Amino acid sequence: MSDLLLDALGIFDWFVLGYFAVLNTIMLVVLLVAAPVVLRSVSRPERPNLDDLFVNPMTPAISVVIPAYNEEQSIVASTRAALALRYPRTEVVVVDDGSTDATFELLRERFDLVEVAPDIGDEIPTAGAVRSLHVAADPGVPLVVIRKVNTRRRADALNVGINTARHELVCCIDADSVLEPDALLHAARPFVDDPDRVVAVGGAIRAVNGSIVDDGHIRELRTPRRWVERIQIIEYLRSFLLARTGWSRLGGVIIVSGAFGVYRRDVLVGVGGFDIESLGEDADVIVAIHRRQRALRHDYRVVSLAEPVCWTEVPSTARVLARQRRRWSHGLAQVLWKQRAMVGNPRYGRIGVLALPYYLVFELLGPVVEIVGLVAVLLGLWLGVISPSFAALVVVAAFVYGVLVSAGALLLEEMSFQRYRRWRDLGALLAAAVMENIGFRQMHAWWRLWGLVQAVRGTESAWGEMERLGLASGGSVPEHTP
Amino acid sequence: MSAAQVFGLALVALSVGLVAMVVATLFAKTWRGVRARRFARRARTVRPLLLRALDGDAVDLSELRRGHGAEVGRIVATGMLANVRGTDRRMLGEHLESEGLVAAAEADARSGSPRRRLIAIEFLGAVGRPASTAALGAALRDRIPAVRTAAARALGRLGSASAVAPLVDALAAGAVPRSSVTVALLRLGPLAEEGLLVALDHEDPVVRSVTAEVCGSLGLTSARAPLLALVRDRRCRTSAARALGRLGHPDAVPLLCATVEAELSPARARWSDDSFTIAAINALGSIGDRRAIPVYESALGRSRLVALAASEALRPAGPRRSRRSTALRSLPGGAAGHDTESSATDGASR
Repeated sequence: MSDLLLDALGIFDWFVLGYFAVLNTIMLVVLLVAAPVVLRSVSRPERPNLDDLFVNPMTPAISVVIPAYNEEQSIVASTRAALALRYPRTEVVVVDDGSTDATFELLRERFDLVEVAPDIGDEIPTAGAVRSLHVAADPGVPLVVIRKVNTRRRADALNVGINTARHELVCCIDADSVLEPDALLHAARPFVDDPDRVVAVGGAIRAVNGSIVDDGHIRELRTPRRWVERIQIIEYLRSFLLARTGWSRLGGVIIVSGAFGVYRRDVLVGVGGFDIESLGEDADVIVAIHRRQRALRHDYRVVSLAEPVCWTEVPSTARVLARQRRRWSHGLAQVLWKQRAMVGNPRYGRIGVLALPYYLVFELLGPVVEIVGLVAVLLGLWLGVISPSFAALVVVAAFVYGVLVSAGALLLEEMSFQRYRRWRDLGALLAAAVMENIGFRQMHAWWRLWGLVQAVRGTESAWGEMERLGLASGGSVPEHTP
Repeated sequence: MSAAQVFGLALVALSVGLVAMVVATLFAKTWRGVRARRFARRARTVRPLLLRALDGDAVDLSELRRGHGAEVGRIVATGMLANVRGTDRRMLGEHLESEGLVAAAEADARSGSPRRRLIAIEFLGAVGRPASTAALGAALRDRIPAVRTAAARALGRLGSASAVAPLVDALAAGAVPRSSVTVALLRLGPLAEEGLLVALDHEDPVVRSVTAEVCGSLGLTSARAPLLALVRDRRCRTSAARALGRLGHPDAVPLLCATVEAELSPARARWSDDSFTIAAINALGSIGDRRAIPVYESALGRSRLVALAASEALRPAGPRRSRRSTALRSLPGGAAGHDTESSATDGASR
């Protein structure tokens, strides 16, 4: 093989080493930025502060919007839990997005729904026609249920919900989200303490698999038995406890999870709601908000909370997880392409100069580097371009450093929220932090790469069906999918 | 340095870091358990002492003045004081003061340990002695945000009008979250009236807004005139409107109607402030004066949320409501506002 190619291979191997070293160093820096924020948020007077929010007349009302498609297993429990959230003034808006199962019938029966004239706002254009609007017969139950034609886009259901919402804040959650009783109070605090600037607040999402959930409430938190689920717990800790909290501190939040996000309704309407063409509508709307607020020269903030406020069922099989990660990668690519004028643009402050370039280089293109890099290092080793020591250095930079960051996330969790009480759970998560880097990381990179390829090709990437294990009934989540 | 050497160094450094993280994690979990058990053991001896003090017995609480006993004693006492009322609360507070625990806590409110300061401040707030105002006021300038927040909450529990000024100053300085100051002022109640009236004229619009909301929630009718003045202040008018609605005095109706009509005028269509318009309409609805009906009718044709507010304000207007208001039953405000009579009618007529 020509010397030129061998030299290029050697240079690329150095690039791979540098890439992993930089990536994990960034994560370590984010950990150091996030740690004080997280530790401060669990200071002693947390509960009394929430009590203050509850009685404060300035605490704004919230409309909780729940898009639901074929959620018969959990919709009643989720709706009941949403209605029972500790908050002074709420309404719950469930959007039945053309379900073909008993989602609506269960709601109608449980909440004694009556149909009323479907007069819904049109501030945000929507695609699927609204078929009917229902309210609870009991006026003390602030519940609205909308039935609409399915357009295969969650964003459209959200937009219908926003159009129907009547309060100044809108909380968008998934139908299978299990919320902490004080979730809305946690999310409302930034709006109350900084009402002129805060436009959106994201909650920390955690995986609920393996835990005992009773009627929409977590009774006992436990780690699941499957490694694919345990590894996702570590991922979510790293992502929410570290990354988003750190980015929030740096003013660089570009994603508020669709599982739990609270927005100022007027700001959502101002950006035209959620983009129904986007697979990453949760990131798309936040980046759009950044763009618009900058254009209007508003002094604003998007906040990401460290407190775990929402628990969600993560995929329990590699097949479903692969589909999810492909979709996420595809969605991220769409967002970055759509808002490419912002990437690297100092006009958009830290969002343009720091956050978006980070997501482009390390999140979107990261799988390219990881997979090609792995091949290049092995090839370089085989051809003698790099020494075994160098190859080992790449392993250290990629994997050992990565385990260190994950262990840091676990340490921060243990020093702050301490949600996993049992020693065996801590042991399982420590093991998962190591296991994540052996096999799973490479598979994950492959799935993300495939999502990127789909985005480049313009291939339709469907949502698919999430295999729900059902968290509504008493007892633990079953070990195996029925 | 060769690649092998760099590799070796990196591996050692990262491995040490990793081991340190794991050890720290295990230590954190272990320490938490040890501390919880230690606290529970101590609380088992402290609680009976405090219960006897609650019963009026002469109990020696000197061991609760210093060290770990002080920390446990304050935490247990704070919890206990939150659950008792009236004479029991007063007696327990007096006993704690006579045993020197309040003085010790005031001293510890200046301690070098943030945790000790925090616990001491919460204790002082729970005991609720107005004499602790100075110590808690000083704590509003603490460098730790959680300590400042605890101090604000504690000041609200002292029942002393002298707490208003330091709370207002802390709010103006942005030192304490708005929600904590708001609720502290609310807890002071009518005692805070004089200080609140002064604060309605504060140079900081945040202070004016918070004070307006508190005056409205406390029903301070003496604040009516300054609140009416604040309706003309664009930075505070939404809070002022809400407060006037809570006060419910018909004097506010002409000004609120005039400002809403100004917001609804075509000239202001591009810059209309829906949040103020909604707050003002809600306030007019609370006051329930028929002079506002034309304003509601004008608002029906505006943005959805403004129309919702107008339709809800019109609902209690009674049998003499205008003909246009009968169309309200088809509005989301009539339906989603759980007007079940009209809902059933609409359902039957489909």
